[in-house]
Amino acid sequence: MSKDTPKDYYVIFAALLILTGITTGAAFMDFGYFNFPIAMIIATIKAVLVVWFFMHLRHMSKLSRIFAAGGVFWLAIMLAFTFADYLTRETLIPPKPVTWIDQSAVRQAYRESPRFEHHTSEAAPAEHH
Amino acid sequence: MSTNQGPLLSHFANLKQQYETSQFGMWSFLLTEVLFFGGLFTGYAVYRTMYYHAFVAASLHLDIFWGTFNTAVLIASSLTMALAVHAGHAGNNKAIRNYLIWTLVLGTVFLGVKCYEYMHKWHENLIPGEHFHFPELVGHGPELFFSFYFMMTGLHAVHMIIGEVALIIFIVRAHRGRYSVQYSTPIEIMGLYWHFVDLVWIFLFPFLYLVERHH
Repeated sequence: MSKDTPKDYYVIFAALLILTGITTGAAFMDFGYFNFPIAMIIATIKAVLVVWFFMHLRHMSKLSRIFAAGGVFWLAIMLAFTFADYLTRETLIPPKPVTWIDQSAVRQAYRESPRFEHHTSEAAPAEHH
Repeated sequence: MSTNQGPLLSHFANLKQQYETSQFGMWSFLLTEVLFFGGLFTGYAVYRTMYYHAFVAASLHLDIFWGTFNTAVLIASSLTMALAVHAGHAGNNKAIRNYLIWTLVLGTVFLGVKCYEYMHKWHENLIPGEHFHFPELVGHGPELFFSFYFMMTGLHAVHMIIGEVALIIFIVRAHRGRYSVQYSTPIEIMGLYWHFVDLVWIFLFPFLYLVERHH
């Protein structure tokens, strides 16, 4: 631990501020599909700086490092399996989607359901008579 | 790693094991936190894919200035926290106390700005529910975005508040001169928690404020 000096922390602090500036600036530019990946890459770099230097992972035992990596690993599993499902549901993806689910169709189906009529007749009985 | 160990408790084999167990315990907790927030991140990612345009439109209602400002504030609080841990290794109680007070102040500034932002959303009728009002788009996309916004930032704020309560306890203890070169592990563990909260915000910031701003 004692190997770190306050100067190291100020350098990391400056790097984090600069990266925050870059990511905010990049959000105002049009990189097409790459806007989101750029934002995520910068966030990941910032996260690694925080974990590696501020949280001293570079001085930690191998067991702690494996544990920290485990967090990323399990999160990756959660995201990968969730998207393996959602992104392959063809029925939810119209050819040129504004949204995956057709909102008007959903609302129409909802209006036609008996539950909805029951609800409106209770909420606004005057409109029915 | 030899500088930072308290009196040996009977259920540990040696000081090194005792120290590493404390560290390891906090890392285990943070691991569960990664998946705790991870569930929200995953939900966010799915609905962002489904309602991308709604998320873009809704995200533009967040104030980029205050978002960036708060990110900087939280990073600064992480710096003062790291310096407090550093002071802990030197056993300098006065420096620990002062750096922790700075951390507390910066954390409170963050929460204050957050309160201001919430109030602003309240006045703009952007709280999901009966009075939610978003004329630019039909459908529930914007409401979903704001549900995630309040859930994610709210959960993050709860973590900050818990962290601040812990900070106050450690400020009092440092003021009473409880830490020394041999014993500052609690400050270090506190640091791990605080940096993790910073870490969550590092991802929340692009998720919520930077969806797509070039128009």
